[in-house]
This record gives sequence, C-alpha cells and structure tokens, in this order.
Amino acid sequence: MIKILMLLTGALLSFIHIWIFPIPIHLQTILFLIGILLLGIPHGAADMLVANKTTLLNKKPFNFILFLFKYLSKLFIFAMILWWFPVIGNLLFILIAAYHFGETDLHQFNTQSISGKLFVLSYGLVILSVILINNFDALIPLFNEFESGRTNAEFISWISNNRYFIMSIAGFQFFIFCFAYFVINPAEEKQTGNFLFQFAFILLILFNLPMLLGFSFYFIFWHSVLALKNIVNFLKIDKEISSRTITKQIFLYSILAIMGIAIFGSIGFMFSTENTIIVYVFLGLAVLTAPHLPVMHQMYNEIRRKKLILPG
Amino acid sequence: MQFTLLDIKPIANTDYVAFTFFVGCMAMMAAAVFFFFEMSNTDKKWRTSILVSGLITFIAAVHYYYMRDYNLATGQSPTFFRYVDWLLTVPLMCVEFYLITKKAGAKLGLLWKLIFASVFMLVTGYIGEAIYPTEKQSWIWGFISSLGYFYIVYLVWFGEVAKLANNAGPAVAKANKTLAWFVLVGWAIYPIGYIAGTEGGLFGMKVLEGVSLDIVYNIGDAINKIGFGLVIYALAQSDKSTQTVNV
Repeated sequence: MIKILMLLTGALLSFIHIWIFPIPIHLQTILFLIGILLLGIPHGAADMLVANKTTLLNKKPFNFILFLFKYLSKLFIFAMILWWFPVIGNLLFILIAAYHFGETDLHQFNTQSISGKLFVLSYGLVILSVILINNFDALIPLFNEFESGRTNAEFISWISNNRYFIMSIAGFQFFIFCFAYFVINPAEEKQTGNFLFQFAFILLILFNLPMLLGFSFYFIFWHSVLALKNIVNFLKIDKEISSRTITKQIFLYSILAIMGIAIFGSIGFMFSTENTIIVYVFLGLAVLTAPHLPVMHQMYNEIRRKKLILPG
Repeated sequence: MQFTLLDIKPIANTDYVAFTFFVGCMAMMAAAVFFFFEMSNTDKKWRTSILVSGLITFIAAVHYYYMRDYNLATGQSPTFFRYVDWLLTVPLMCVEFYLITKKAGAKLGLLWKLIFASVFMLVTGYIGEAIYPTEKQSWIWGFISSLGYFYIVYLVWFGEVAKLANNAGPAVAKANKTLAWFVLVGWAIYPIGYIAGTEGGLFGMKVLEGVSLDIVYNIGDAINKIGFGLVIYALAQSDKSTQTVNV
C-alpha cells in the first residue's frame, strides 16, 4: 500500500512539473534539503542498532567500539579516495549506491550468489543512469564547482556526448543479468515478476522529473522510506528494541551526521551558493553510504538467510 | 462499378518492403485457412487454441493486406496500423499460454496479467515510436516497453506459466518451452528493431540506417505468428497421437 501511495505521489509530482507548472529550481533545492534532513540522513542513522541486532541474531557478542572503529574507518577511507582520486571515488560511489538501491528494492529475492549480486547492481545502475545521465546537463555545473571537475572536463564531456550509449548499456545489462539470474536461480514459490512493473513505473516518473527532483523522489522518498520501514520492522523482530529507543538513536546519529557535513562544508565552500550546498550534501551522502552499505547488506542477508518475514 | 478489391497497384522489383508485405499477407492468410480447417481434425480440448491461432493469422492477414496498400500508396511506414494489428494479435498470443496451461489449473488472473503486460508493452512502444520519436523520448519509452515484454518473458520462462506447463505433462511442457523460445528470441526482434530503427538508435548509433524497419517487422511477424500457431498445432497433434496409442 505504501509503495502504491509513493508511486502515485511521484506520478502527481511529474504531472505537475510537466503539465501545470515547471517546479522552480529554488523550490526543488528546498524540497531536496528538507527531504535529506528528515528522511535521507535518518534512514542511515540506525546503523549501529541494525549491526547490533544482526550480530545478536547470529548469537555473537556486539562490540560497540570495534563497530565504531570499523564504521568510521570505512567512512574516512572513502572520503580520502574521493579527495585524492575523485574520478575513481565518484565511479565507486555510483557502484555502491546502485548496489544499495537495487538490494533495497529487490530484497525479496535471494541475491547472495554472484548472479544475484549482478542482478541487483544492474537494477541500481539503470535507476542511477536515468536520474544522473539522463539529466547530465544539470550535473555539469555541480562538477565545475571543484577543480577536479574542471581538470576532468574532457571525461565529463565524453559522458555528456555518449549519454545514450551509456543508458543503452545500462538497459541491456539489466535485461541480460536479470534473465541470467532467473535462469540460474529457480524462482521461489511466492516470487512474482511484479517488480518489473514497479520498476517501469519508477522509471517513468524519473524520466519526467529534473535531476534534483528525480533524486529527491527516488532517494529520499522511495528508497529512504522503504529502507526505514525495513529497518524498523527488522529491529522489532522479537520485540527486543522499542520504538522509543529506535527514534532516539535515529535522532542522535542524524544530528551527528548533519553536523559532520556542516562542519566539513564550513571548512570548504559549502555555503557559497545553492549549487555548492547541493554538491556538499551529495558528497556527504557519498561518504556516509560507504559504511552504511555493508550494514544494510548484512541486515538483508539475515532476513534472507533466516527467511524472516518483515511485516507490512 | 469499381472492384476496389482488385484495384491492385503494381509492385516494383526493387520494392522489398511492399514485397514482404505481400508475402506476409499471403502466408498469414494461408496459415489462417490451415488452422480453421484443421480445427475439425483436432481433439475437442485443443480446438479453442487452434481457433485462436487461426484468428491471430487471419487478423494479421487483413492488416497486412491493408498495410501493403497503404505503403504502396503513400510510401510511408504504416506504424499506426501495425500497432493496431499487434494490439489485437499479441494479447491473443498470450491467451494461448493461458489455454495450454488451463488444464493444469491456470486461473483467470494469469490471463489478465498476460493481456495487461502485452497491452502495456504495445502502448508504451507506440508512444515511443509514433508520438515521441525524438532521440531522448524514443529510448525512454522503448526501455519501459521492454519491461512489459520482459514481464511476459519472466512468466513463461520462470513464473506461473512455466510452473503450470511443467505440471501439465511433458507434451505441454515441451510446447511451452518452444513458445518461450519464440517469445525470448522471436519477439526480441521487435525491441531490437525498435531501438535500431528509431532516432535514438542502438547505443546512439544508427546501425540500421537505410534498412527499412518494416522488412524486419514483416519477417519477424510471419515467423512469430505462424510459428506460434504451428507449435500449438503440433501440441494438439502429439496429444491426439498419444491418446490413440493409449487406446
């Protein structure tokens, strides 16, 4: 039900943008920032609780200090890669985000195998190619805010000139890996192909929205809401963790993450223009996604391994 | 008094598009006659399937007759009429999957799923090819349409249709496998033709520039529609011979 409501909201948003009035970029930025603060960042703020729960379900003791050390190490290593090797860092971010998006949307499938991982990755790559490559003109000014963007102008221009080539490749590899997955992994009894229609509807919405609104719809609205719902349901299995504890944790770690991005941005040039704010938020999300992905991956593994049924 | 039915425009020796329309029309008509006549020679439980095969090829033959004329008179591709033809025949081809698996317990829900997926595939494909033939939009609608196509592939290869066919016995399972190959390889000619022939092109390259998309579609249609019907016919015949042996 929640998925249908979100898809209808997305359809309404694209209808308004195309047929009634184009949503101004300033309003898009405000919606994007509000969404990031209220849903985007909070959906990753329960990572500690999720990791704790996953460890306990495996009947192992949870070491908070070790978890924090590993989590922050991944965060800093990825930040360093982005800083020193921006092209590799951005490509890595695309791959990580694609896998994470795919895994959340397709968590009902058993994707532990290599064919499953490729299936999940290919799904996410199509989503990202539609949001980013389809609206690549809107991304170029954001890249140009950085020296690395200006020094890699040739590569950026190659992407811009070959956008249809890249999107076609994304589409083809999805069909190939999707088919291969189902050939290799026999379909389970309750499994359906309905995800293809959901996917088609999401893409129709994304195709008709500008980059910032498209990203806001998919990442903030669709992905974060569904991930949060899965996280809360997972944490509430056996009713060991109360709603109050979950809310407190999410609030605390969201504030920490927002402060981290703001401090990092203040050292740089985050608050110069609207564009720079957007760029820094994207950077913050990229850095936060690196340690978030393994935590979520383990959670979905646990759900699949123990065949846990998430309510709702 | 004018005999408009016999007012045939001559086809130039080099006009391969009109030639394939003509051959397509004749082949579809012959197949339709064959299926209609063979109905009486088929076991009762397969008659509806053979009737549907006859209807598919008959509808296509009438459309091909009209499209051949349209193409000769205007020199244009009859995109609209082609989609009208597909909109009638492709859901009927999906009905065949329901009919052959009905004995194994296929429910009406499956029939509607197949029909919905085929209509979704065709409507979104038509939007891309006829309404938004610009570079960006045609790619987008083509991909969305392909998802509908892939849903049918999923159902017949791995989903409900495949499971039901396997439960219905070896003859139905074998026929379903052949039909599934038709859907995967034979029907793939349409999305490939679409992306290769529309402005966006295959990978942005116009690989089929100069080659008429109509030729690709005409050959594909003839193979798919007649072949589909023949697989059903072969299934009905093999079932009949099995029963005869059993008696």
